[in-house]
Order: sequence, then C-alpha cells, then structure tokens
Amino acid sequence: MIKIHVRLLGDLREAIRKERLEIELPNNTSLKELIENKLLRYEGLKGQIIDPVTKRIRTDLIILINERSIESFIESERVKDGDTVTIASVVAGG
Amino acid sequence: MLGGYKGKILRVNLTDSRVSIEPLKEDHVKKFIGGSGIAAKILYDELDSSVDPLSPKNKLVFMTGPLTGTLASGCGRFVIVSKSPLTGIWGEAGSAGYWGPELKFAGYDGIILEGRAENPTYLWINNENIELRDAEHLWGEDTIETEKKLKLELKEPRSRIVTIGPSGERVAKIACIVTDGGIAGRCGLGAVMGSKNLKAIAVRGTERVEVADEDSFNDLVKEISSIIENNPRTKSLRSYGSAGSMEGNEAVGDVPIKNWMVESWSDGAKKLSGQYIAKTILKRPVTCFACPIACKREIEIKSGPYAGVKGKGPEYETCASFGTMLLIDDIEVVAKANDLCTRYGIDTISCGSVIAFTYECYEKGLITSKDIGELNLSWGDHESFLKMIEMIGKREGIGSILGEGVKFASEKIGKDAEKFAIHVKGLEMPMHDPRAYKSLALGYATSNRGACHLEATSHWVERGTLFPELGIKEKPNRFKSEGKAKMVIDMQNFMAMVDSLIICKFALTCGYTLNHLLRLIEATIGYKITMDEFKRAGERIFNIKRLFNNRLGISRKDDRLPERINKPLPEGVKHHSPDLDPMLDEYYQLRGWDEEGKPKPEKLKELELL
Repeated sequence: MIKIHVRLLGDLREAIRKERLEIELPNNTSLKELIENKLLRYEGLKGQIIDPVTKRIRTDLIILINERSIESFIESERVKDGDTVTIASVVAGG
Repeated sequence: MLGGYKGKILRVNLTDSRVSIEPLKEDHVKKFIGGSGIAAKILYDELDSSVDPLSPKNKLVFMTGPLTGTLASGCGRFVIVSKSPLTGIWGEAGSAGYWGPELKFAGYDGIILEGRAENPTYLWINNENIELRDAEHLWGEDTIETEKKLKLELKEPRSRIVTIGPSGERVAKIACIVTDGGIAGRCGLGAVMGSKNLKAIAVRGTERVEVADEDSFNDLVKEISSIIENNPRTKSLRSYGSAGSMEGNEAVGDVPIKNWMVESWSDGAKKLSGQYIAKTILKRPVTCFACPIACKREIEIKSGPYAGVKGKGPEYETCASFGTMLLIDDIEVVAKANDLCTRYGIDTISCGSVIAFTYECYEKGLITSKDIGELNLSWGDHESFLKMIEMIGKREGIGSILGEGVKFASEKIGKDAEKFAIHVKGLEMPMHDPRAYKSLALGYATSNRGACHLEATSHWVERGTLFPELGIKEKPNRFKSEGKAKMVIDMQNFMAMVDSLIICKFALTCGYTLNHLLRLIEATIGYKITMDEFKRAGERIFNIKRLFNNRLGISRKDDRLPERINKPLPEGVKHHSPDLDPMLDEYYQLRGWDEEGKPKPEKLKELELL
C-alpha cells in the first residue's frame, strides 16, 4: 500500500469543506482509479468531478502531481507513495 | 423585417444635434449578423482611418445582436466599437447587464454617434422620443451618482443608463464606459465618449423583441435553460463568480503575479478567490437580463478601514490585476479599488497593469519618489495603490501619464521601461499567461483589439472545454504548439459569431452547443443557416476587423508579444516558451493571409469582402 496526499482547491474544497485528504491506495494505482475509487466516495465531489452529460470524469479538471501538470492520460498516469495530487475545477475565469 | 431585429439604427450627430433613423441593412444582417459584426462593417465603411480617435470625426457605435432582449439565456449583452485612443486601431468592448435589451425595447438595434457636442450633453431615448439634453450638472459626477441622478431627473426608475466617469471626461485613454449591470472596459472607449462631450445615454423602451417562430424559440430556450441549470459550471459561477477559478488558474500558472515576473503565489490566490469573497464580503450574486447563472457579485464591506464600500464586486480579472499583479492579498482593498475604478470609469485590467508597471519602474530606479508625489511604492502596499488610482482618475501628477496606458507611460519614462510594459499593440494584457497556455500567445498576438483572451478563448479549450462541432473533440496539450494555429482560428471565427449574435461566453460554456445556436438563429431570425455558413460568417467578421487594422498599418511586425512573455520563467509551470513565430507562420497560411499578415485577394473574394 502507498499513502498519498490530495489537495483540493476552490469549489472542490468548498464542496466537502476539506482542503487536504490523506489516502491509502494499492501500489500502482492510476489517477483515474484514485478519482473513481476514492474521491467519488465523497458525495459533494461527484457533482464537481463528473460531467452531467457524458457521465464521465470532466475533461476540464485541473490535476497536478507534485506541481507537475497532468495534461492527459489519467488512466495510465500512476501515483507513488508520498505524492501530492492537486485537483481543481475551473470555469471560464475572466 | 426579420425576427430578432428591430430594423432601425439611430444616428446621432452631436455637433449639430441632428438625430436620424436609418434602416438596418438586410445585406449587413445576412453577412455580419449583428453586434460586433455589423458594428465592424459600419466602422470599416464609414470611418476615415486617419482620424484622430479623440477627434469629432471618430465614431462610437453601440450595437446589439438579434438575440439581445429575447429570453434566450445570457443574451443581454451589447458591444461598443470605435477607433481606440489607447491603441490607435480597432477598439471594441462589450458589456452585460440590461442596457442592450432596453435599447431593443425602445425600438433600435444600435446607435452611431458622431461629432462632438459643444457642451456636456446626455442622450435620452424614450421609445420614439429622442433628445439631447444638457449634462453640465452631471459633468464631474462619478458613474454611480450619475446613474442615480439621471433616473431621478428623468422620473424613470426603469430607465437604463450607460455613462462615463471623471476619467472619461478627462479623456484618459484607459477610461471605460459603465452600465448598470456591467462595464465595457477595454480599449479606452470612455475617452472617446468623453471627447464627444457625451456624459451618458439613458434608454427606456416598452416594445417586445419579436422572434420568427415563437413556439420553437420557447421550446429551445427551455431546453437550453435546463442544460445550463444542471451544469456544474453554473453552480460554480453562481456561488463564486468568475474569481471562483482563481486558485485553479494559479495552480496551472495562468495567473500573472508581480507584473508577470513570479511563478506562483498560492496563499495570495486563496485570499483573492471567489470562494474567499463568498465567505467575507459577498452580499448576493447578481444576474444580467434573462440569465439563470448570476455570476456577478454584489458586495458590502461592513467594518474596518473600507467600511461602507458596496455595490459591484470584483471579478477574476480585477482580483488578479489589483491582487496578484501587485502582491496585494487583501480582498477588501481590491474591492475598494474596484469601486474607485467603477466610479471614475477606469478599466481595471489596464489600471492594475499600469500600476504594476510603475511599481517595477520605481523598484528598478527608473522613476524616483519625486516623480510619484513621494508615495511609498512597495509591492503589496495598500495606501499607495489606492492613491495612484485617485491620481489616474483625476489625472493628477504621474496619474496623467499612467492614464494614457502602459505603452505611452513606458515611452514617456524611457530608460528601457518598455521592457516592463506588458501589452500587445498598446492594450495591456489580460490576466491569463501565454506561458501557461500556448494558444494564448497566438491569440494575444493576432487579436484585433490587441492583447485579448476573449476574441479566441482558446485557453478554455486547452483547459478541456471541448467543442466537438468545431472538430475540437479532445483536450490538447497546453504546452505544445502543434495544431494550435487551426484551433485558434476556429475559436476566433466562432467567437466572432458569439459576439455578433450576442451571447455571454460564460452562458455559452454552461450549456450551448453549436447546434443550439443554429436552431436559435432559425427560430429567432427566421431563416436556416448551415454550419458552413455560420463558420464563414465568423471568418468574415474576424477578417473585416483585420482589414480595418491593416488599413492603419498593422502587419506581422505588430503581431508580437512583450519580450518578458516570450521567455519562460526559470522553473515551474511557466517554464514554457510561447514559440510564437512558427505558430504565426502556420496561422497566416491557414487564414489565407500573406506573409505580412494581410488577407490575400482570393480570401477576400471568398469572404465577399472585396
């Protein structure tokens, strides 16, 4: 098992009133599995993370692993022990 | 007349107080749709390009779109265009609120203002009764007071008003035009209005906007409203406004910090976010005409040094330009500064940018305490920041130079100051960083009004907002150049249509598809338009603005980014160079422009612009 930190920004933090989560995961877990198996357990995050039309993870989520921006491939991108995963949803913004 | 339009344009000559009504040309409607498109056609045809933007010969055009004033969600907007005094080229600014619909209810699609009144004047449009009235007693009043006094004077509390503040009266080139529901901020159009001695335009109308097929229109509006209501973006915008994206934007390197010099400031971003505003100074979300989203903020500061500040709250751009750009993390100071700018009528993007530039000049010894009235210009200092806004508003001391915009100020100060002046073609850059989104570099370089994130909004695509009907089906990598030229062109053409119909871009991304727009055009106007015709009209509108600029000498030499933005920061998410030149080559080729950035004759023929 590995332990990772999740940092929620903006709407996501407000949705569950928590900024940081510590999560235990099996080794070799993908970002997609982290989101689907752990984060979506929080009822407040479902509406923020899932696209109401496609019923899939929103394409416009901001995800960083240790300040490295993840632009795609959340299925294959793996998290490691001690990683900090930052997640935010942005609307138009300006 | 076709549905959606009123079929009438008001032409007001302020020099001889002549008012005439002209028919909206059907050929303009078919080719240029409305709003920004028709306004561009009018300005291109009528304006001698050599005119001084602040001379009576310049024209100021207010235009609505066919959807303005209908119940389609997010269609309460209007645009204002002119030759910009800030940039000397195409000038355009849009606003939401209620004024645009009211103009339609009064029976007009737009207003063309020309000449210059001898004395301060306001225009009063009460349905078919149109008067130019003395505004001597309003000259010098701030925008909020002007609105209050005019409504009382006219005995029409339901009238809607656009006005300039003291900054526009003093023809500061970063002056904006303020409406009850929004602000037409960019390009210094408040100075054009001030140069014409026109303080305000008050409108009251009681006519409906008729649509071609009411049943289809109503069904479609219901369908779109339901999608918007259930979109998570709607909930976010309603709860937190546009600044709700501040923290996410900061995390990906999108937010400019300390005059575009610093990589990140997450603690500051949190205190400048819409979520923080919601917990502190938010009184209520505010909606525009027929919009279910309510992204605008009404704020009130109840205690502390800024107690009593209330009204329009800061949006994302202002939270960045007055916050992160200056290293100010006190949202109450930002709200106070926003209120000052609303009252004086100053564009907050340009204002924050020019003040950040001044701080840097002072830090680097290019200006001294003597030049700035002994102010303590240190990053994050509240007092000097607010004092500088007052000086810009009143054109006092260095404020008279800063009110001319960052390009002018840098030329005036000299000594390499232009290296810290962050603008494109004279327009201060908005609060999104091309080092974080590759397409923004190309968008800023090629936007017709200078640095503009809204003319393409291509960074939304790089964030993952997809437009499958434009062929944008996957989120592109924001750090790569490949494919960006085509994507930026597609988005610029699309947004040219959005600004012509006119639809709010927030509402657009909360629920409209391109198919909805085609159906809405048919139900509203009464004729079918194909996807190809839609795209072609957008391309035509974008190109006519480029032609306007080409005529003023704009070419490839001007499609540049500031030196600072062309270089990546040493590390982090802004560690990416925009790579403008290769993208620009491809862009010109795909646009059908020559190597100097001018549309080729065959392209003009294809677009029926010859």
